[in-house]
Amino acid sequence: MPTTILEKAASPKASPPNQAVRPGSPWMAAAQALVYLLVCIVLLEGFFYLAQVGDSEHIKPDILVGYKPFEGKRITQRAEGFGCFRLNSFGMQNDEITVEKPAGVYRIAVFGDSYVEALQVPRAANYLNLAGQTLSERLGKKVEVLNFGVSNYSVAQDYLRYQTVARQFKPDLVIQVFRVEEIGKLLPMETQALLFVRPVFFVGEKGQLVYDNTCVKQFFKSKEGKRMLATQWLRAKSRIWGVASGMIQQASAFQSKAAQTLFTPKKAGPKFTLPSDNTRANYAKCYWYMMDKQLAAFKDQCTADGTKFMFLRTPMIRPGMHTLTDNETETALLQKTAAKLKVPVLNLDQAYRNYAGTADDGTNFSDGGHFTKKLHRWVADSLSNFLADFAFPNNRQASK
Amino acid sequence: MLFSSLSYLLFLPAAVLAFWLLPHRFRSAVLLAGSYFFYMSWIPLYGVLLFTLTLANYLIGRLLYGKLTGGKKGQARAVLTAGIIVNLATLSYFKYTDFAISSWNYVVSLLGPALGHGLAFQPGSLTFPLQHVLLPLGISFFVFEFIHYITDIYKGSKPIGNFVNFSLFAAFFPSQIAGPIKRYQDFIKQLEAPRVFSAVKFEQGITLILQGLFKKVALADNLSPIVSQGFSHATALGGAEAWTASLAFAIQIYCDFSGYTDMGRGSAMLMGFDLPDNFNWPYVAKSLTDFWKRWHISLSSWLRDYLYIPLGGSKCSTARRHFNLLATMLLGGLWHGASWHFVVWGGFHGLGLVINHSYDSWLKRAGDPVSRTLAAFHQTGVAEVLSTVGTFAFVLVGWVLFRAETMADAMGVLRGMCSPMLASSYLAETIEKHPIFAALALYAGYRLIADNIGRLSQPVPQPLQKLVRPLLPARVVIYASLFILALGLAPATASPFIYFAF
Repeated sequence: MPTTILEKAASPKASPPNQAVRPGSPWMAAAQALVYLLVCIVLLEGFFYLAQVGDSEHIKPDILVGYKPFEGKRITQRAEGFGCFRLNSFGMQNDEITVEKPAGVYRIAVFGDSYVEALQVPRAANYLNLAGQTLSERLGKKVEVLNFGVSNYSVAQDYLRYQTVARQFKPDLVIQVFRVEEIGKLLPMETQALLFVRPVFFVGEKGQLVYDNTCVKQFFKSKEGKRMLATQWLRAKSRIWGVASGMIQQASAFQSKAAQTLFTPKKAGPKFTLPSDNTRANYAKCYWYMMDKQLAAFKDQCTADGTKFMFLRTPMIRPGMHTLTDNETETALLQKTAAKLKVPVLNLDQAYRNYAGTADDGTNFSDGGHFTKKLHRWVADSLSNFLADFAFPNNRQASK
Repeated sequence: MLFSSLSYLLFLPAAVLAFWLLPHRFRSAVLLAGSYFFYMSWIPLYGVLLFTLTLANYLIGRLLYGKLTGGKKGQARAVLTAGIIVNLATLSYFKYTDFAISSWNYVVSLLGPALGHGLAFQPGSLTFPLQHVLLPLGISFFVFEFIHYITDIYKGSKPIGNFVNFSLFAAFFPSQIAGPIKRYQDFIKQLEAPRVFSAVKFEQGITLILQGLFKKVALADNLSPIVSQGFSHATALGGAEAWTASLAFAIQIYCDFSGYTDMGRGSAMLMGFDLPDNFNWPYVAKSLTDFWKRWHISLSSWLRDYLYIPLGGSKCSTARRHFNLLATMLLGGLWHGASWHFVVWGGFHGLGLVINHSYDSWLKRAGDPVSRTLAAFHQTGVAEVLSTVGTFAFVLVGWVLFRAETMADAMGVLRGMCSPMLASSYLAETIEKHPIFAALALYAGYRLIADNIGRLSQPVPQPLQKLVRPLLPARVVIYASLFILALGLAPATASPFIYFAF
């Protein structure tokens, strides 16, 4: 017995069989299909908007920086935690802000990757907002913490983002956030995945930074790049597109897996394993000179703009992923650079290991390795304690 | 190959296309090959098991029929008994070996220290290691179909002559893994009948598949993590959370299983087959007896025909009838899974049915003023609502016993349901992550419109109705939209169908 609308519409009871499949006039059928298509699009877009579905894509290709967030787009993230927010008109994971700094406001600009961007928790619960609130309450003056974090950004991209977006806001303090894996972003990489499309800064013969966006240009010329550019409007505006592209991604992953299973003969061979800790440490030390130069340039730019500069080392734990060794190597290198540049470092990685123990298996991290709400709170408290002294020494003297 | 997976979405059109393009005489063979491909995509070796069991039951059926037509009723009875033993032994080995071993080991661990003093051996030596036998998918379903087949031959039905058709009866992919449990007379009649493509039936099939897909991926799969999260903190849940977790499971198991059935029935319809329905609004049942006429209908009718009635059914003394009911439900519980909580769930429903039957009999027989007043009250709308709510509450408690992994967990959730409605702490984030409210609201709206479409369209003038009634291209647009809608609401990770584990 038919139980659904369309079953009833198509059932012999509702209409005789020849009527249920009646061809009608082709023009009539086409016109009706068009009307139905428009109605379905409107209904689906409306429903997906209300259900907060289909707006997980948040970056677009950019020839200078590789990629950057859409301006003003609503983003919903459900993969690790839940977050639903609108990027502001500057493409920041931040509430709307004015370019002109209001009188009496202290501005802190924070740069980094997805750990700073913090799409996995509600905006009010990320450590930037929490630290801003705590500092404002503690110091009795408005402290604005501006979030310039973008998923998978490198220090080179952060430096470019400072120059192209952040500088106009005249921040009083810039915080460059580090976690492990920064070293892997120093070298150019040809890729079809937008999240890995980035320019690099080489070090020239005279020690100057040499900007190179060859890989970005290659991506723009690639099939995937052209597809992204051609569909940019849909990616920014349509939730149906968001859902459909997710389906297409799954389908192509399935297709390549099936092709691999069917057409690639299985043969015994060496298994891929991560390089040894020693190799990874040597790699980091070898290429750190590029990082050194970029950080020096970033710091010099900030100093020239009258802005303080500091490093924040946030904790990171991925069980079985060498993070402890990598963290120790990169932290040591970062501290050397900081000493050379006379830039303060707040090492929360070490602090977290003292707090949670080196055997911690990532309890306070989400499935994908990002911070949980609890860890955001802990980072915010540690950061605001540090900043209360570092950024506001007068306040400390007054309270003494 | 889950019905809701991409591989099935590729497999199904290929199978349907091959079915319709080939001449009638090849269709069963192609469908059988497709069904074995479908089944063996899980674990290829279990295809051998299915084939062996199919062959054994085919031969048993022939032998049984031969004995019956030869007038050797006694020998036929022996063959039937042997056939049932073969089927149940296979099922028991794959499904209940570890259950039996762990239960035995538990008893030894309890009694061992007490008995050990007087024994010449160590009680520990009486324990056995678990065998970790992997359960072949759908075995509980096709074994029940085989038992039905040989029992019905014994009762006088004709066996299936064509081995390919018989194999297809057990292996038919739309109903292979989790039913509905078919009756061979009906299935073979459809298989042998000349098949003419019906566009109406084809579209009904597509609609059912889409409806099932929505129930599975948008509803059941979004509820699954909420249920898991709730039951993994079973002993620490507050009132609101315990109710949320148990209600979520009630909806999940219905949407998961009826979604599977819809997709299976829809897939069969694409090839012109009608499979029996398994559900008829079970949660609006007015009594427990009514519930079992609406929930997993193909299993409850199987249990009635091949267990309850052979045990004596209701045509015996009251005590014996109650025993029959309890035994049927206890075994029905055990059929669901090799674990004591399924047995407890079956016993709980058996007890409920005994009370339900006793109460009904008392109302009919007593004739005193109290029973007359109660009988009159049962005719009122208030009583109907109370009966529905009461039945659902009973079923909900049953679902807690069904879902919890241990009795301690079940008691924890039930205790939580009786405690104050404190704010949620375990489930809030999981609920927030899944668009379950949107999916539920959409499905409720859809049902409301679907079930009242006739009434809703009455005031619309005929010419406008004709204009609005979707022609084929418009219907294709609607089907595509429904597909996107279902997948849009699906979580990133799909959950396997609950009944695949049985």
